[in-house]
Amino acid sequence: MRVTNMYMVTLAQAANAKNQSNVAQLTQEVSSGLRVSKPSDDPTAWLEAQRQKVQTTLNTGVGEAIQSATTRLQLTDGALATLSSVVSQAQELAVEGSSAQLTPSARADQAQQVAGLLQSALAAANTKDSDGNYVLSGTAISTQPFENPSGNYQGNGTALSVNTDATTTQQASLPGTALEGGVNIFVTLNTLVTALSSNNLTGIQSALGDLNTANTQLATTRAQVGGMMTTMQSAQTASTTLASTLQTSVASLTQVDAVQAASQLAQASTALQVSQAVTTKVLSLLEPSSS
Amino acid sequence: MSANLLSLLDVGAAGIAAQNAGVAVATNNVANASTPGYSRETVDFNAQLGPPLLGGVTTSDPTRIASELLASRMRSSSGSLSMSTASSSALSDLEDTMTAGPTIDTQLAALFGNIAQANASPSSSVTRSAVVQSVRDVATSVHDEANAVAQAQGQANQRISDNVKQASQLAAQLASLNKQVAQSHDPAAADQRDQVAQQLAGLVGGTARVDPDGQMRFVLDGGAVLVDGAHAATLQTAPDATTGFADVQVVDGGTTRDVTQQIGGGSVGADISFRDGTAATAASQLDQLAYDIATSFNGVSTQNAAADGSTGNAMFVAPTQVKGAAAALEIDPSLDADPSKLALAAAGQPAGDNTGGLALFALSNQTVASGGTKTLTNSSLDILGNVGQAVANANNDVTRDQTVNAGLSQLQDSLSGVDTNEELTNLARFQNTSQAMTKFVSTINEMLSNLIENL
Repeated sequence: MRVTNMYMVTLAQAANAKNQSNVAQLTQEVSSGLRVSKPSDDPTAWLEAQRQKVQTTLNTGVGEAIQSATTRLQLTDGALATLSSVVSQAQELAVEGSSAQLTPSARADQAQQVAGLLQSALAAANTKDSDGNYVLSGTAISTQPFENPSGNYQGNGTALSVNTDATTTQQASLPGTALEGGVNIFVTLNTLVTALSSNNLTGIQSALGDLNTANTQLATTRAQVGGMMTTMQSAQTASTTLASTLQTSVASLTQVDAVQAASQLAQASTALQVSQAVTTKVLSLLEPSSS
Repeated sequence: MSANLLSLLDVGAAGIAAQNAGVAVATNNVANASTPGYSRETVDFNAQLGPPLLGGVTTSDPTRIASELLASRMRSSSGSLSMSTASSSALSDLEDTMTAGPTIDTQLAALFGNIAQANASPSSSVTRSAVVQSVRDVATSVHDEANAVAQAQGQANQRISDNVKQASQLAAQLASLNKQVAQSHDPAAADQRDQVAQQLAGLVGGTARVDPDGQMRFVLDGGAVLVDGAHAATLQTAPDATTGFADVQVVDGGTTRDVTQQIGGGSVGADISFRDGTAATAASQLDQLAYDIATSFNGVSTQNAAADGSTGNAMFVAPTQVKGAAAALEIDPSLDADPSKLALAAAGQPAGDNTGGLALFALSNQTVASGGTKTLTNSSLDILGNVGQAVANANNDVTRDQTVNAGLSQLQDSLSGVDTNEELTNLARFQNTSQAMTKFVSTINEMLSNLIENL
């Protein structure tokens, strides 16, 4: 084959251009740390990484929802704890009050105490969240759930559900209806106040029975809320794990192996230096004096 | 005998002239060693019959060392390379502009993420406002991607018009070079004709062949004859009745032929394929996606209740048709003005209900796009994925065509290129022969002088 001057120069130029382009590409990868920064870099990897980023964003939204729901359930649990304590104290007072030895004036004092307890109970049951919404009124969040002092429930029985992952929803609130099923705690407390102030021993005993039922009812309800909180806790853990898995996966799809890329860059730089040296040599060979 | 000696002087003069011709060719070759498209020439020495006849040497016109087969392959490879390079460039630009801002998938994901948060506190104005902002962002991202496609189509269209004009001029030039080659032995014109044909193929693809009559014929893919001998047809563009984009036409005599869809090579072929293929597909997919986004969100939203209990509230302005839906996608004006119009509750339920919001979030996993085959985010990703794949394919095509082209250039250079070492050696050879001939002539001259003196 005839080898012409032009051919040698073209060949040297092509080698330089190719090596220069390799160095540029690898420098870009090493400096940005990204192997895939746009779809054409690796369409399959880009698509997969982008799908996982979408999933990450959804997961973040779901995580925030779980967090809000958990806060609301904690408020609910706090209210129920207060109610339990109120009912226990009322039970003690009712037991004392049902004793035949107690004087009517002592019972009147007790009535005062129970009335105070009723207010605490109502305050707890009408707890609001940081947005100023009632926690125990179902979805009628702007309606005060329990009327003062009657304790009549004015909310609705609809529980709020939130997404705990992309496709699953879980109950995340407790409507106040749970507190008036069986016995209404507030009506019972009101009955006890009336019985104590009117020295009605039968009434006190009847109220005591209802308080016992209310206590059991509260324990069941708290267990139910506890169950919801556990569910939210697990969902939160799952969401955190998923976020971390997705992050790792996106990184492995799009990021460069730093060590490998650095070594490739070193190789490409050497190749470029060699081809530049070869070009110089070719050009010197082509000088007329050396022909 | 003296008459013979005088004739021998002629032989000597012809010999010197022949060597001079060799020197002239070698010099011209070296002078053009770096001229693109130059084919080297050689001198053909023709020996005359020797004694008893006079003998000697003559030269004919220098021979141009070139292969028509190779030139033809170069032209077609040049058409392919121009096409893949132009495709790669147009597609890369499109990819860059489409992914310059936040992409549709990202904004849809943000919308769904904000809906999930709003569902945990449906009456919160903060979370509602975040959802409303996301709705605006989705519309913006759809506009941005649709604008990127429309802009790229417009630019390709402009390039088509410009390049068709240039191709028409090259066709005329080719015809005039044909005429020049036919009229006289003109190796420079032949070289130039090869160059022009290659440029023309680089613009519009097609094939050129040199017929036995020495005339080059340039035929476009699909059979329209652009150049035949000294005659060239005109290439022009005219706006398409439906799309408004430039159609490519060949005008010959009184006949106009539309060749838009037949041009399968060159940068014009690449731009047509980009404008009417990848970009047009992306544009219609974006329209479909915008339509699907608006109808699916509105479908859920209008069935549910806003914070004020009203129903029938849309999230996006309802599109009238698929075509143009991407450019027309906008947030519903009422929702834009008042985030409480976001329908998160079931109809008849208070503002704390999130049944509607849960249904909106569920859209993230439902195949409501592309005729019920894909989710909205996957559909938006596929549009970008297709463009990305097209860019990757075009880049591979460029690498392949560059390799083919480089191989052919190498072959052509090996055959037609100038090797200065070879030429300098030839020059020395011609010089030596010329000196020998001069010596020969001077010897004959001396012999003649002796004869004349002794008469």
